Amino acid sequence: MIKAEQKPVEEILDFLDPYNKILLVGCNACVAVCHAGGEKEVGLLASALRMARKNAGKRLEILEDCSTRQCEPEFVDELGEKAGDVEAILSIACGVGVQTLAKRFPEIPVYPGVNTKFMGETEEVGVWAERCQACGNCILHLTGGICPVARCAKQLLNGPCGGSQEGNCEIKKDVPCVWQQIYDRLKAIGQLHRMEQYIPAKKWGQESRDSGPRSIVREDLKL
Amino acid sequence: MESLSPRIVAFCCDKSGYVAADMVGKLGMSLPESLEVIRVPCAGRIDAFHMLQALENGADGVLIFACHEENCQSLSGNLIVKARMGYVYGMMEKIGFERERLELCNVATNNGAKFAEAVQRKYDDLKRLGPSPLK
Amino acid sequence: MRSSEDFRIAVFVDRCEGTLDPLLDEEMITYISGLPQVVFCDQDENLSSPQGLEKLTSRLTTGQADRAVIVGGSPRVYEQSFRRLNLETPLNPYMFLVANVREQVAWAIHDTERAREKAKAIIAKTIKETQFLSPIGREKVEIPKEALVIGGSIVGIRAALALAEANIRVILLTRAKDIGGKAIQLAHFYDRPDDVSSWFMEQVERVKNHPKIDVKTSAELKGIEGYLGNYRVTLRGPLGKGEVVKGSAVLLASGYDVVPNTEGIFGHRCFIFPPQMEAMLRDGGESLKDEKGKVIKTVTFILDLVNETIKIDSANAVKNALLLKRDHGCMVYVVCRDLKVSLDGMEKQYREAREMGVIFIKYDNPPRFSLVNGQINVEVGEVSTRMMGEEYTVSILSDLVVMSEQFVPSRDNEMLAHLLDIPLPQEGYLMDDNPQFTQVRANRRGVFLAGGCRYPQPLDEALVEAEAAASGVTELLSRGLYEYDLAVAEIDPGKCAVCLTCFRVCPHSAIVVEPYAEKNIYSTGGYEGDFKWRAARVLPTQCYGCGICVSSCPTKAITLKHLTDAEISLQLGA
Repeated sequence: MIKAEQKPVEEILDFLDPYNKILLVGCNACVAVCHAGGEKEVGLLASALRMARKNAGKRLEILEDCSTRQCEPEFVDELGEKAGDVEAILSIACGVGVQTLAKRFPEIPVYPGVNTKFMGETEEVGVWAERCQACGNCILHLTGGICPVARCAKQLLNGPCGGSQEGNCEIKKDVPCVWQQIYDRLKAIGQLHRMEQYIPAKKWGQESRDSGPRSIVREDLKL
Repeated sequence: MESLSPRIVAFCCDKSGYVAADMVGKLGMSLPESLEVIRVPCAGRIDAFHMLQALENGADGVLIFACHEENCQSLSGNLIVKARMGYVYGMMEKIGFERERLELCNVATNNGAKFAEAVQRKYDDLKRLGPSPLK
Repeated sequence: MRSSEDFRIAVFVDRCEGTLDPLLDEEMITYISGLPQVVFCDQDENLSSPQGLEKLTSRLTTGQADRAVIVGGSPRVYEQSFRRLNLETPLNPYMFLVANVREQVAWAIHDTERAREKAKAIIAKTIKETQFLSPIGREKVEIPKEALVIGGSIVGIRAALALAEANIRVILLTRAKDIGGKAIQLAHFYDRPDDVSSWFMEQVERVKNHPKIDVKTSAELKGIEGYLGNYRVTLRGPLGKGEVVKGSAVLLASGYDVVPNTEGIFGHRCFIFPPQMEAMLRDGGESLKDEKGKVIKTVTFILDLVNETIKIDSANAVKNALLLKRDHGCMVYVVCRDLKVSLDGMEKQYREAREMGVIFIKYDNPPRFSLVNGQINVEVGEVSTRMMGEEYTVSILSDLVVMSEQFVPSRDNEMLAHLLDIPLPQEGYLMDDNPQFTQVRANRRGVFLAGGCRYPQPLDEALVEAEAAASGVTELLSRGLYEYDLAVAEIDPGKCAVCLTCFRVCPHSAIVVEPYAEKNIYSTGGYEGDFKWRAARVLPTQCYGCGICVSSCPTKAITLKHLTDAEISLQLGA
């Protein structure tokens, strides 16, 4: 699921400097799960922002709300009334939520309160790690279910680089070398022969983000 | 006019802090009248938001009384609240609040004297520090 | 303030037998009576007395008020009185709040004017807070009088018997081929002359023949789930189809393991371990003989190389030293760091042993062993002579050296803790809820622990624990009914993001994730029929009301019925 992290509060205060009344809106889906932007975080951030502004001698009125899921037009519609009254909207949903708001409220500036980081897994409680980069053409069947596009610092597709030392990536000691992990995994599932099968360069231009934003169309689902 | 009597909000867990607070009176010791005691079933009930809310609503200082580590009757309520305080300290620093305005105090039910002393110490510290920057 | 609602607040002022007189004067009573939405303000000299509470009850029967505030001492006092007298008030007991103006105000603020101002502020705030109260019901669930005992050791056996005697059906599960455990190794009790073996056999027979006890041997646990009144244990079976046994409560008596401590010794028939000592004392004639038929004249017990914090070795050493001295004419030495005799009657036996000539030697540095003419020479530095400025080394030529078996957590503990979702601290023994008060309870309601799985202990103490745990189970099950207040956490399934935070953080394993939600934040709908979304759910019988889940929930889907965020906000002045 999408994982995000709250922006440093000083950066947010910077965006909000020109405004005196804003709507702070969270999202109870992905960002709630990683404790960055759910209803609870809305209350917390609102309190912190109000106090920071009061300390700086410039009050800030904050209307608080939280979308069930901010990437869905129906849910964002529900904010209509509150949004009509404010100078700007601060969203602590992921980048998608922020843009959905911007689309729905074309006249109101919308600011992001979190940095959307990656699609990742929960490694342990409170620790999330990057797992998928939405490259657009999944090759996990060739790498034993471990992704070199997301987890290799150089996005290599055919084995480790010379910097792989004792299972660690050369960029940082505590980052495992994903090709070591892929090797171990392929061996464990009896598919080591895949290491010898050459994976050609990805068609970044056609499958990935590289030549423009992508979309998925399902004619069978269109109303 | 500034308040000369620092307002302290004390979140007291029912298994330790609140009983210790009751004991203060029984011992004939004193508590400042500007102390407000908030009773919670476990320190883990207290979220980062409550700590900020206390400050936002005029507290000059916030004390959290929880069980001694390894003695929490809900296993880790006291550790959980401590971790949350770490987050709040980070936020407090950035929004202009001194770190001394929030403190965790581990007590047991029979630590009436310790409770009174902790409150008095915080009261004196806050008097030196001055009222909350919000005022 | 919810101004559209018309609250009717009754105030009961407890004068606490005159101790609050200066504070609760006429002016104060007038002030209180004048606060918004107060319908009446009654006074009593001692509200928590039976008479005081009776008056309170009758006053509330008039229906004038729909919520109440008690002005007086600590809320803990009133909560206990209500409970002690099993008070049934016309008003739901959760529609009461207490303004503590005694312990923390009148007695702690010595300036009377200031105390009065403070009291007024607290009372006014408490009265305002009543707007957020809502009645909390009491639930009664029928729980079958059946329990599961896991572990066929003597502790499990004793617990099963105690439960069966209390008319509770027991299913006793053991991994082994037969019940019994390590107790059979003991030859003698330390505090009574009975022979352990026959007593032990009797217990085993009683369990096997008891109509209310069903023993399942060779039972391997595959899974445990459920809650008080409905625990289900799945056993491993052929073709993956294991039997499911049910119980209202689970009592763990899975024991501990032992590892013979061979540090510093070498293979020789003169080194033995406690079970062999017990066997020799049980079976040996007047003079003890070793394997080769040589008569045993000198026995040395080596303690505290392992098990330093456990008293079992000490107790057995003293017990056996006395037997060796008295019945077999041996010379006995007990070599230890410290002798632990904190067992009923053990101090006396220790003294007796010393008077009979058993020599106790204390050491700091571990003893060294060597072979001298077919005997083991135990060389140890005697600690008490150190005061004289020198360490005096003692050499004991022994026919028999009794080493220790190190007590270690049962290898099953990890599995049990995992299956039952109870904590397993670093030391490896199953954790009890609170060692002073609730020693035999795990922190999951309906799960009990007794004996060595909790901590290795002498047989007598383990048996007491077995009875205590059985007593705990009986207390919960005896009426066939479990009653509890719904003063617990409650989750709104429609708001649940299924982030699993509450599920992971609940210290009492009271939260499950089940399909019961009508809607879900990840979907815009379009599902038909009986389809339900998975969401977290608090099992009300299991919840202790600590509120940790409430504060952890990122979507604020959880409410604590008896202390909502709205109440806390009001108290903070929001």
